[in-house]
Amino acid sequence: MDSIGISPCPGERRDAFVTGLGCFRRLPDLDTRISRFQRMASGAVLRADQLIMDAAAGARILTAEELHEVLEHVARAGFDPNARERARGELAGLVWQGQVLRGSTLLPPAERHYVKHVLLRREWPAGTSLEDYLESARQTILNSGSSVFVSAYQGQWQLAVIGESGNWRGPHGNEFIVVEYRVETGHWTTVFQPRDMYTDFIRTAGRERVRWLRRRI
Amino acid sequence: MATTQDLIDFELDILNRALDGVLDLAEAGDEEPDTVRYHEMLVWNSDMSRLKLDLDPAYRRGQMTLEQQERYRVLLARLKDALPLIERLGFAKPQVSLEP
Repeated sequence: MDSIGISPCPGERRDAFVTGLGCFRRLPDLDTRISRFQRMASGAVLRADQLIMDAAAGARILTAEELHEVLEHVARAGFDPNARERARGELAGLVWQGQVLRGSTLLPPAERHYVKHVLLRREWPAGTSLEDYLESARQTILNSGSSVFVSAYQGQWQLAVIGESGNWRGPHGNEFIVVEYRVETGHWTTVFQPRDMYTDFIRTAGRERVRWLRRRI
Repeated sequence: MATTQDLIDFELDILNRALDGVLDLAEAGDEEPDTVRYHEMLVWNSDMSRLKLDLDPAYRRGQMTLEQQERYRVLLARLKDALPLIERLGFAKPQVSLEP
């Protein structure tokens, strides 16, 4: 943001910025949207994302090769490495990388998800590292036994993969791992093990236009 | 090997922390990105399933210790107080009676 000459707005909220025209509040998703726009402008966007949107709109049925291409793309996407999320009260007091987390502590999404779902909630086995957690998501996405569907949430296209947790099921884990990817951001939005797959995840409020690309459950 | 009492203690702790997180999220308003709110909504759904499928049956069947019963009643009261915020966020409401 410094490159376009804006800086934090003194005495204002952390997402407010001052420019030559005064103080403005930054949109929460602005960095992500800019990053996404830059990727699209570079031409990198993205055949795989287009395939997802075409499939979601019912404009085409993906071939096995196309679905494989999409899932490889999604497996590579990961969480947004440039974003930061507040730990919030839920994680306050936990220790991560030698630091006692406060509600205001900012973490990359991958780390926040790991602390929440592996360290706090023990959905994955004891000893699961951050890299193990991310690898379990990648394995779920690429496993031909996983189910895949596309849907819309508040107008945003998303692709979800549901796979059996198997050896990745921890002492407080559940039967399935879910990974969800949002086309607009180009990154994962969630990786966790819901208590009740249908109620908690597939049929969640606001999810629309569900279209299965591969169904194993 | 975790005992039933250990599991109940764990679930009570998770649900209380989850509610802390939801209250923070409500306070943050539009500051949090939509992706964060979406993720938290899904996990809250799962927490409400824990409440309905695990904790509440344990309470109603008398499987909790006296201390756990008291913690559970406090949790129900917190949930009841938080209902307006939960509704404002558009999150799932508890599918159990909030009356002990």
